[in-house]
Amino acid sequence: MNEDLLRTLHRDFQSLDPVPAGLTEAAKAAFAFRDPDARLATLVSATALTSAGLRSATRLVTFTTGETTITVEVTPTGPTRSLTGTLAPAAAALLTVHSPTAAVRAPLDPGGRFIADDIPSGLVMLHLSLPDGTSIVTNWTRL
Amino acid sequence: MVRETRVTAGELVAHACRGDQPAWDALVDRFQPLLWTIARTHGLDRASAEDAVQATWLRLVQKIGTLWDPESVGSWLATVCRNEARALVRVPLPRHPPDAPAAGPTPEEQALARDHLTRTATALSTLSDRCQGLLRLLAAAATYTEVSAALNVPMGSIGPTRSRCLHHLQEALGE
Repeated sequence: MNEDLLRTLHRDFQSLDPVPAGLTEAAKAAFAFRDPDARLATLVSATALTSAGLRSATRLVTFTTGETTITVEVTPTGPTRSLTGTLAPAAAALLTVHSPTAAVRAPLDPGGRFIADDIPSGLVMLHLSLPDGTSIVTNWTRL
Repeated sequence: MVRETRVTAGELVAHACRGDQPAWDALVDRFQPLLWTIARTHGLDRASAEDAVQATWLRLVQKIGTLWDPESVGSWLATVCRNEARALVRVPLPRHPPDAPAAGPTPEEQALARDHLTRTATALSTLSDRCQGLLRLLAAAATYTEVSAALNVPMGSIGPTRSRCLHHLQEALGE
């Protein structure tokens, strides 16, 4: 009796508030981001930068694998974000900034610095291809 | 609702770890209704709920090789989705869903289906948010472990709350 009611309720919710079809497609497509050999750099801090005692819209976001640290300044520019960052220890890596639906590439200079503009707001993941053939990925983070 | 039990969640995780896209797709199909329900019962609008659910899957892609208990991936997903939902802006759930979509092929059947949905929506709106959320999760085939992870409540409280909420719903439906 209760099981029947829950079954009916499930069907009703599927009509009243269906899972968007595009969302299920996107979740399946997310598997393309699988990179089991990459080292994961986890988010360790995200703070608003202050200038003259005022909080600015720019945030400082830090990821680390333990040995390698990625520090990114995130500045909102209208609907998109500009990223300025460094990789430490420095390496001439290639950065790809992924959103679920787009990717922006930027090479690092010999000092490990990078700039990436026109990054869509929302979920972002940084992928770094290092000169030794290994790679680092960050957590998906809302920028 | 009974889930497909032939392949366990742990087996699907093991296959996905080896790069098997169909196994991943099966995980998505199995747990998507639960994640959508978690995001929506935490008060997110549809766009924010999509964001929370997609973030949850993206996190699983990165962590799937290091889950401590692959068989409990449903609870892992429920916990991550709850945290994602809580991180996003909360907006109140509409008490009465607008215009229920038509479900039947003939106008008469459509009208009946609409009446039924309106009756369900009205009955649900008389329940507490807690009851609505719990019943919706259970209807989405969540196990008690997953409900516990989704709502951050002790497992032992779910059974008694479930009975009480179902009783209220039956009364509200006039059954």
